[in-house]
Amino acid sequence: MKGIGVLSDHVREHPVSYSTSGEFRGMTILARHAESMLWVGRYLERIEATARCLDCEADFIVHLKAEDAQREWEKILQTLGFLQTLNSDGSAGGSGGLSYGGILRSVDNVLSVVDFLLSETRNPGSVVSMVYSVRENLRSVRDRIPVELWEESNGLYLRIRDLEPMSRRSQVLHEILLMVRQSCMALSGILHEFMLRDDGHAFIVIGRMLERSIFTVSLMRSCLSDTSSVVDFTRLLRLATSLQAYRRHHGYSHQVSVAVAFLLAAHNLPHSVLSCMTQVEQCLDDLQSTAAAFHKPRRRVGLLRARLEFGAIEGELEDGYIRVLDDVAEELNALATDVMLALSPPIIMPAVRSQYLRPGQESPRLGEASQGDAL
Amino acid sequence: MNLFAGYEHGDNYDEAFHDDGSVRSEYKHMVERFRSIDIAEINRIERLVEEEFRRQGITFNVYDDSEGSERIWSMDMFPRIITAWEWDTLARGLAQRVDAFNHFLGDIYSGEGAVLADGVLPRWLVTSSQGFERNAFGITPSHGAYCNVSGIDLVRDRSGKYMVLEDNLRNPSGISYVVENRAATSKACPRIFDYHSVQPVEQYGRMLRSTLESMAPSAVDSPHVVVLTPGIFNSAYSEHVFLARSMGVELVEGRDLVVDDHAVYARTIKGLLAVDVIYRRIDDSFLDPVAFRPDSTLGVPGLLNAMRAGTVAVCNALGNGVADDKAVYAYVPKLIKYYLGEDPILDNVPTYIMSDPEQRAEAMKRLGELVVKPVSQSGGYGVLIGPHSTEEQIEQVKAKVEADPREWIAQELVELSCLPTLTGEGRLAQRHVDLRPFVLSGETTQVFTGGLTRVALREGSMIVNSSQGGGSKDTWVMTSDSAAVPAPVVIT
Repeated sequence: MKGIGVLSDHVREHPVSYSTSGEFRGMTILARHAESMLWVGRYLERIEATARCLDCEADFIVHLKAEDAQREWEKILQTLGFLQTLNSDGSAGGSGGLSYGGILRSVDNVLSVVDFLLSETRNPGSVVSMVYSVRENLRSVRDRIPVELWEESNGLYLRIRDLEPMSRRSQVLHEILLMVRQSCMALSGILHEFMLRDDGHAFIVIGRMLERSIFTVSLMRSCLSDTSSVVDFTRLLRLATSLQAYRRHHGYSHQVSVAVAFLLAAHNLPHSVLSCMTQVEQCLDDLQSTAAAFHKPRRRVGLLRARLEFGAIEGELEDGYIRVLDDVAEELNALATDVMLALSPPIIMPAVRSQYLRPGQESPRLGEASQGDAL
Repeated sequence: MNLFAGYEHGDNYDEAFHDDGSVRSEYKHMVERFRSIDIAEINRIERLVEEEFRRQGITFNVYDDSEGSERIWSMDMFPRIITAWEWDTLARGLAQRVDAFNHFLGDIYSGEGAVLADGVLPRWLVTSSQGFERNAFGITPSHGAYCNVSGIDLVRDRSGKYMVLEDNLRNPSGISYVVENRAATSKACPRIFDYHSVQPVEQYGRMLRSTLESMAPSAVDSPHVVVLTPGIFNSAYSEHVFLARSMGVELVEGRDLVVDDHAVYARTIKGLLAVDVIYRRIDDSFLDPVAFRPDSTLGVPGLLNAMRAGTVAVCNALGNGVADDKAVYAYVPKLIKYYLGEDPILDNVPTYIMSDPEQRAEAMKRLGELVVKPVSQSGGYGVLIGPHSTEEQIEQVKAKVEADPREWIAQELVELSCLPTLTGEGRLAQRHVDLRPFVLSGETTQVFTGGLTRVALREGSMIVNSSQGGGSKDTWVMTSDSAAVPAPVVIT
């Protein structure tokens, strides 16, 4: 459970709202469930992205010289947000004794990085760990998700939990990754086709779209910030699953700002930040109509979406795309935080309004009593 | 090879066969069907069922189990058949029993205690019961229904007579498995339903919801019902999910609820939403850390006050443990007579109350022939079956009984009835079974058709509890217009 201290600044922004009528019932969602759903969405997207990265990279990197391979792996680890942890202290803060530093030093060793990202259970961001997290989160909301969604995620967990390290594994890496990606696609399909469009669904979509846009931006930052090497457009676009679409739109134009603008603001590209934000905005719109707490993230996403859609983003990019990307990344992180904060309902009571009742004693309903006084 | 090859008709009551080895009429088609199935086929079906349970995550957690906390639910493919005629008697007996419990609990917790004043039940037996809850005084559930969901464990003795082995009036679990078993049987082996007209089981969610809604505080029109679970690590979590889903209500944990001004609210993203009925699947002592165990993180602070104020119905009621105390059990036939003025339809197993010096002396003499049970435990923990125990084990239990006689009872050993059950070697053999039917009580008392048949998977074993690794069977109650009307089996 999140600490109340963290939230105290935000709680009072919205008055406690009580409801006794059946008006919300069946439509609203427990705050805890909403949080689980949000994480399901984020993990699902991240599993798919990690599997996609591994699938694209593993074959490619084996053919590189050691130092080039090291740089490539660093990019992947950076995109997925691991590099900061790896560099910060060289160890995972004592969690399970996993030495991230060791992993980094041996990044030329393909197997160890693959294991770290795929099957290392001490790494909470490995595919296996995240599949487990998705399952545990879905388990705690099992009563409000389609049966098929639970069964598919349970099935994926059962297929992947006993994965052996690469060196002892008989299955080809590609086979495993294909299985994982197909399962992710099945899960998206189920979400799209079977799930009631209620608040729970909205949170899964918000989680996925946030994670997806954060990944896309992070990918661009890690691939483009290294000015010493030539930008490999094909790889960048392939990792963002946008290569085919880019070719249709822009042919073989290898202009950085065109590619960045495409990934940021193409309105018809499902992995562009604009598309993601449009969906988040829609979901928050629905939530905001009944829950005032979602006003803040709704406003933030609206501003970002408008900037991407109607702002002169190409012009901004020409002045320096790294700055724009950093800016967007910051906005996305702030948005993720706002959503999390809005999720916690005002749980601090004005005061504990309750008193011990002896058996048989008539209960004083304090709310009613104080109304009586006022009258 | 025939699955019945080498089937031994021991001297137990076999529900499928007469003593002379001929098939009972209600099992005629079933036995024929299993005679025509070969091992490969049955293995295939068993694999399908297991795969189905695994995929759906239908599990039963066994605490202290080193294999990991989730164990796949186990179901034997040979179903149990109960004729409409038998069921009719059972249902009446069960409803009668639960009605008597509701009267009894109302009598005790209203503070009146007529049953104690009239000397039907010794006062000390009530006040010394671990399940007796002084905090329950003054909380009166709607319709006087304390036991909203009860699971009454039944066994059949050597002559086939049904008897009540114990009552579970607090948080009986197992109902989801009844429904899941039926679903799995229908999927994996639909043909075994041929020639049988079986009553359906999927109406449970609807029945439970209407029972719970009838418990709402009287001022509420359209009550908001929730299921309160201890969380995903509880042994019956998959059942809690089933209950919430089949009723179409929210599954909440203690931390999702908050009490303000003597009313209970759920914390939703849109603020606080009033809750009218809580079907709780956590024990009394964890319900409210203010009133009970202060270390409980599963409960809701202030819940007891809300219950007292009558703004919320908590089902089952607080303090039911006094009625399913295994020592009070011995008095249930008297309670039925006292409150309802009727003779009990279902008999008890003869029981010795160890805290009664005379009964204890008698029981101690022949402890090796009896079953000794701790009164406040469930799940088959701590039970000693005399004839199956060593001298040493018996001596240990004797010492425990002498140290705390109130905590123990002894019962005559009932040789549980048997049913053909698949063994690991791919053949059928006799295994002991019991039956847990479920009774719902709100505005009216209804008995849910069928129940959970539990089976001891080890040869000769009579411990059927799921917590102890027992299996289960799909339980079929036939419709009364069943084509093959079986010869009635004598009950009582």
